[in-house]
Amino acid sequence: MLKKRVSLVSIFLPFLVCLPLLFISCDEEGLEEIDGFDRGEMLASLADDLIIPNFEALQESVSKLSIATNEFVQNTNEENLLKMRAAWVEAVTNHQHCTSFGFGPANLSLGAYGTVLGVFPVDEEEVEANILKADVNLARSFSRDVRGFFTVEYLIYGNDKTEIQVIESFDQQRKDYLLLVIDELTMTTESIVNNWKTDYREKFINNDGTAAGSSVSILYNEFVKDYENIKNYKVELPAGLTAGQVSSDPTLVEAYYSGISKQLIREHFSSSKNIWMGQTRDGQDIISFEEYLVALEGGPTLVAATKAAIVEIDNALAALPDVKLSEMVDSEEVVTLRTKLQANTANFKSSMSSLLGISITFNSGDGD
Amino acid sequence: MEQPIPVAPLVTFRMIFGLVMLFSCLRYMWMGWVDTQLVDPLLHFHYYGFDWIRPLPRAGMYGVFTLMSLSCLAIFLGWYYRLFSVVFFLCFTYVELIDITYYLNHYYFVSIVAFLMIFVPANCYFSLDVLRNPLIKRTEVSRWCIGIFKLQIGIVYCFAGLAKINYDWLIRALPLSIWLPAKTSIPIIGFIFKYKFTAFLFSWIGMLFDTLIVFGLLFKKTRWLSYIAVVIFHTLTGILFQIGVFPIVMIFAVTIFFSASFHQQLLDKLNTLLPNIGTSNPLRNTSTGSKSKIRVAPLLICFFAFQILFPWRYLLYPGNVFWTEEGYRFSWRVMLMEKAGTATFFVKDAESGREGSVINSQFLNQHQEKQMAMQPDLILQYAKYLKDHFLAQGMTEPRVRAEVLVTLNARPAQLLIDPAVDLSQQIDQWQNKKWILPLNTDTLP
Repeated sequence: MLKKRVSLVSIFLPFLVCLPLLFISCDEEGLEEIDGFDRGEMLASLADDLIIPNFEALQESVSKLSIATNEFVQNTNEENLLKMRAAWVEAVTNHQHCTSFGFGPANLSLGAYGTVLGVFPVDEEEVEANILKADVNLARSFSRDVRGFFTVEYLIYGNDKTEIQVIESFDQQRKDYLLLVIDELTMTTESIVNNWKTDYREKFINNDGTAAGSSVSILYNEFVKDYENIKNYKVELPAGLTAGQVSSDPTLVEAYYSGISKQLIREHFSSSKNIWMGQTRDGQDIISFEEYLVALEGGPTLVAATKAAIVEIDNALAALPDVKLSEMVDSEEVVTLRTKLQANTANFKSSMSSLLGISITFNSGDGD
Repeated sequence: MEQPIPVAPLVTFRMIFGLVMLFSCLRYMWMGWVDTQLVDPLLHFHYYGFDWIRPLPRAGMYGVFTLMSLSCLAIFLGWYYRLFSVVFFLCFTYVELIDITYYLNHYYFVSIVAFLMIFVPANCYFSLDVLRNPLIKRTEVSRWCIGIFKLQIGIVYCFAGLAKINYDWLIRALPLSIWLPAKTSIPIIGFIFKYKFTAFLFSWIGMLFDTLIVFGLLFKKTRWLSYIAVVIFHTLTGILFQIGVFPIVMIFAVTIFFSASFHQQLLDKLNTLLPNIGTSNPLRNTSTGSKSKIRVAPLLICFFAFQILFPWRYLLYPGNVFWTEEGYRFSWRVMLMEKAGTATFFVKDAESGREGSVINSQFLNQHQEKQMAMQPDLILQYAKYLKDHFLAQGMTEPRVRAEVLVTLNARPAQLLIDPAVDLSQQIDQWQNKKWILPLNTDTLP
């Protein structure tokens, strides 16, 4: 027995000798903090300077849209139609800056905010059927493609209709449905802002771990999903670049009726960029993932790679021809945009979570 | 090996195993994992050679879990023990084999222990079976009946320790330098995780602990100290990482190393709380007789030869085992690397030449996607699934390729497999997968 123990010790002697050496060798830098980063501070910064202001801007523009709609309903004329459309453009632009935050108060009963009220394409037939029904209750309906920003768009722009035709189409039932959809937008955005400002802000900032279910993990998850939505649903599907499609389909673009798809994609990507780089919509610098990454092992390399990829995407977005997206879904430029968006996916999706040590799901991989 | 020793350690082991597994089963159902992991997914990733294993419909899966929970209870009570130890082993292993993306070393460990439990008379003392049939009562069993569990636990720890002897773990303190700083918000001890020193210390202690602990447990003098180390070590890993019931399983499993008198006292104390179950029965049948001979000796020898040899199979493959994962599983490589990938699949209709990318979330849940995106054999399985899916959709000749960017221990992401190769033409086999690209180790973090 004794002999056995001795031989074991001799096997591990080299390691035991190395151990103190190790302590000496890393004494200098060893006590340096590898993570001098304060996640609570990042969460506070994101909540106060980005998430809440973005939702507030959305709420404000939605309430303007609501006022404009009411005016249009009372005085259904071309001037009011144009005012209402302008209010919609402002609101849907602000919407792009909120779809990443579909958690907490913005996790609605039908799903994350953006996947409920930002759904496209609209189911035109079901919308028309709903209009003819006497008592439609959106809160009791599970259909996502008969509500939200793009249903409003369908109603106020029409599918290939002149302004006069749109105005003429607005009988009382159509007006009622429009008001119903707008009401849901108003109430939802109001409740999101109120919730954030009352108790959720504290909860969000205090839940500053990295385990599954922590604020960083939830925010990160939604951020990545929302980023992938740009490529998957706003670019690839209309361009026919999804597996199994036999051709492009221009009607699948976001904001097909108004034709502002390209503009919205740019806004959407700038929202993703703002979250990653830590920047408010008016360009003020705040603390976010970029600063967090820089403080970590392997982080600076990833930051450099991500920044380069972002520049490429910005260039690809700028290079899109000056026509509606639905009219150029087959162009080379759209394929390039898709390629550039994809090239950055791994940076956002796997490399970043790996360095941050964020648990994305409750199951642990190499787990135990 | 056939020398008789007191049965007490085996009996507490049986009871603890039954209880912990019961807790584990109930927890699994309570967390809703029967639905999210087994019933809901559109497809399941299978274990090599087990693609015939299919999940049952929802009611069936809950039935299996109910049966599994009941068999845990039966094992705990020693009630129709032989029958229910077989039932538990089959149920547990069946569930485990449904989807490889949920592979955990501790599930494998549980399966192995459940398998070994079938062959030992753990119900011959302090059990309902003894109440039913006092003739089976024994206070002693052959040495091998307890030795096999000690050997198995020793194998787990030693291999886990040996696997930690590598450059990233010891010299770069990776992945702990990634994982620990993310834990600074843990109360009281959180602050120590922001120092680089802590990651190094934990890496080395972890390696030494795993490799040596079983020897500490074997000897009486060091046993209690070693057990305290076991409790501290597993509690700490349990707090730090989301690893479910594994710490509890190990903390309880290693009590089998304790002396027979310790276990006997434990059972005696338990017995005072209960009506007579058989410890106070003076009719002691101490002869082990021919009944306990190792009739299963050839089986056990093969089993442990497999246990000791199989983890080394990675040496037969070229390349870095962490990168290729050829020979990675079933080798007690526990919490050993930080690896993550993003896999984009492209399906090309060879007839029309049109190629499109796949939206993974339409087919996989988040966990499956995460696991698939860094493991070549799962990438291949998914590619095969996509081929079949698009064939069924009417595509005449789907070709599937994938761009897979993987980061390992904070290295910049690199391509895991050849993005040009048509995966639908590849076969999953034991041989080296030639389409895996080598890890470029120049790019240290």
